[in-house]
Amino acid sequence: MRGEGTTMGELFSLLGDPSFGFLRLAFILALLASPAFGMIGSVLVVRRISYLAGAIAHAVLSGVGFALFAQYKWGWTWLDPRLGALGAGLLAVALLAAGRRWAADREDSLISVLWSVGMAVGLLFLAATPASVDPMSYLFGNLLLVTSGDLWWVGLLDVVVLTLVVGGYQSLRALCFDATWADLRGIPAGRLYTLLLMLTAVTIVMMMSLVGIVLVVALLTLPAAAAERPAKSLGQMMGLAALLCWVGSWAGLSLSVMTDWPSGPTIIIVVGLLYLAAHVTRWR
Amino acid sequence: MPHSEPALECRKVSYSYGREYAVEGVDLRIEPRETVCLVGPNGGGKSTLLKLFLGLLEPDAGEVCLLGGRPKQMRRRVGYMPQRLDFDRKLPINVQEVVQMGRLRRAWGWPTREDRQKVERVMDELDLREIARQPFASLSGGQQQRVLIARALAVEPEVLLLDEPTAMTDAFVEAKLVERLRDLHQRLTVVLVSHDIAFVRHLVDRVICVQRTAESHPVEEVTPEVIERWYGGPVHAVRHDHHEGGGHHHG
Repeated sequence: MRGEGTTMGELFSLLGDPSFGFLRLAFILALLASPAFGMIGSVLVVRRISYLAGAIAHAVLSGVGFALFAQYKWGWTWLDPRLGALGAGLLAVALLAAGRRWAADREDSLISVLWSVGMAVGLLFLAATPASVDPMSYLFGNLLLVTSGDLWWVGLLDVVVLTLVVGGYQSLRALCFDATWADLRGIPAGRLYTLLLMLTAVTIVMMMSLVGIVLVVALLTLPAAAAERPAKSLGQMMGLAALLCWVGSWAGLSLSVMTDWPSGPTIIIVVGLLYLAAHVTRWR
Repeated sequence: MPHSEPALECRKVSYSYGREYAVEGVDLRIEPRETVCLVGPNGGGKSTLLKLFLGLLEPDAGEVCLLGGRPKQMRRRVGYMPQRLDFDRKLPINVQEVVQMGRLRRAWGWPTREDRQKVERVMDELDLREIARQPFASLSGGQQQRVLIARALAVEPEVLLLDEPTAMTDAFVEAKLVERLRDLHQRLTVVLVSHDIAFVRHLVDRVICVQRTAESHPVEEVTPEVIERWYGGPVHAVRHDHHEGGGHHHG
């Protein structure tokens, strides 16, 4: 890992170097986003709906593209790409919720449409915006996209997700275990489901800059899937998933800096290895 | 029977899953504090009827009244044990957490001290204390059923609906259950689905045979010949050793 790369010691000095502030930001961002990823990812995994997160993540690109296009074309500088991403994510959630209500038997088609059309719209907007950011940055992540504004943003979203998941934990758990029972007890299952998807959209936008929208679903679901077996309760699973997400993203980031590999894929490879390790120990 | 509002009432209720009627023109009245058993062949419409009582299914025709209101509005006062539960076996959840769901009342918030005490009491009554921390998925079918009965009781229901509570239980649990239900039926309306006439005979006021339609019989009238007619074929009797007399009947 020497040669063109960076040693561990150099990584630490880079983290302290003022001109490499973006690196510090990336590490703090990964730490801040981990709790939300662990919590939301766990619910997606136990409810077996991580494919919905995939559809939302890909649809998010249309919002990013639109925001960059609007900035260039109409001078809408207030429309941050992250805001656009969040808008598109929430729109995708609204469509999924409507589809579930009125065309539940066509949910798979709707997911494919959101997945591919959302991405196509985003790529077209990006193509129509000269000198805009390389689409690869949004698809697979780019450390340089992280700004200090991200931290406030992610911190705020973290508080929202944490409050909702902790406060709604009992009904969320009942919904995961036995949706009919939750319904009988007067829990608004449909509304909770939509809220869950909205929180999913929010968490996806949190880490978009670091791992990219194509890879973010892996960071959402792999730590949770690895945590499912050793955990004794849903709460423990969430905690363990958050821990794995944090460890995986920090290890991935470090490796990425040391080898000069792109951050997104490196983080996902490390998280994938953690997931594999969890399953190998299970076979023993 | 007291002339108060019925706990459960069906007026000309029909429901079909496709072309075939699962239940058709069912008229039924179950009084408060009555214990009745629904018997009948598999696919005869017993579980469908329970789901109609709960508002999980809407009748194609007719009307279902639960505790004097619409099932969807009143069902929070009902404890229900499903026959079979499709749950994710990997979901990490223990026995106590499942019973705790009986105290669930709203989307937001945590159980109060009172809720926890009630859960503990129900778990004591059904001998679940020792397995309180065990993963629900690791239990045997009979134990899981017992946990689901505890969950239904934790509701502190006015009406208890049990779909085949003895399908998987062993003799000990069944005896325990009989004891518990005897005590309960002083205060509760209990509707249970069972093939086990011996189990039922000691507990219920009435037996209702469900075979697309519903036909009510006082429990004394339910002889092996009558059952044979209901099930449309010979049934075999198995002696129960843990309580006296009766037979175990299967369709």
